[in-house]
Amino acid sequence: MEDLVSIAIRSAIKRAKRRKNAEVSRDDLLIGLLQTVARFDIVQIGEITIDLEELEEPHPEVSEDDAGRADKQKVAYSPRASAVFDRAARIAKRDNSSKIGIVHLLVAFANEDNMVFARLKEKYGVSGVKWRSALSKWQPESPAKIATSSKAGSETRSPKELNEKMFFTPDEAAVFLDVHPQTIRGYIRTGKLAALRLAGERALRIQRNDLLALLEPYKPEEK
Amino acid sequence: MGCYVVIRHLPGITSEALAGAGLRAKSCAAEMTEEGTPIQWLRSYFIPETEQTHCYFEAPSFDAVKEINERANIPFSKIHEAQELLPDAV
Repeated sequence: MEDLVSIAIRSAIKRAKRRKNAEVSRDDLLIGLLQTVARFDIVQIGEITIDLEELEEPHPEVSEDDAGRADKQKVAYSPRASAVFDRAARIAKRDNSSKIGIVHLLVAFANEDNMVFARLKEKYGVSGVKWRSALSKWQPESPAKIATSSKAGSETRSPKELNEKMFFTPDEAAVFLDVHPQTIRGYIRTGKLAALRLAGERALRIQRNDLLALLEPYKPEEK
Repeated sequence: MGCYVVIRHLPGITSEALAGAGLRAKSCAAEMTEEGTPIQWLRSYFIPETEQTHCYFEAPSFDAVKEINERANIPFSKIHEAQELLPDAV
């Protein structure tokens, strides 16, 4: 099983690539770390509840072809992201830890001024002290548990149950089509997929027929 | 695949700061391997007296070793192809 830090860093690199950035920035790194410990896009660190959907700035959804091309792009760590790694290493050492853990990388952001952490401060009133204090008592879930829950909705709805449903949450729709939940949300944002809002609520529902309408016959290109 | 040694002179560097660089190198190796350039960081030796670090990589080319160090944002002085000698082999 791959460790959480490796998963988080891979996620950060992928974010940089998908955004066609030449460098892995501090924002990429922080979002990668938070996504790795999130469940249903929610991160709970002590009393701090972070909604990644609110934190993450919207970006245009890319097609599978574009995503494939982006994944081949070469990216380097920015000097400021590198400094976060170095600080995390010092924090790990002070914590008597032989390895840099995800918590050390998160703590290393306490005094950073990158956009995502600034948004955390603004939206959730997270100061450097509050961040370090919450993380000092926090333990991430094991990689196995997070891996199980990262397939959104899969714990609560089996494919068979989903086959009998008329309306789907975005996470259930992702399971139904076997795509990432962000893909479904991207389709909704760009108008490619119709969604309904429950009266007076944030929650979205998607009709089964609208999901099926996304599927089209595959026609191999003529040579 | 060849063995390469990367020589760095990093005045004032501490062993814990090297751990941060090591994590970046490890992640870049995984990324480059996934992209189709198989590369592996084998091990590093830090020599406090000279403030030098020798890092060993298994890689398909000199350029791949240069690239991983640039992507990991770790400064270096020289890169040399090296030959491995093991006690059991002599």
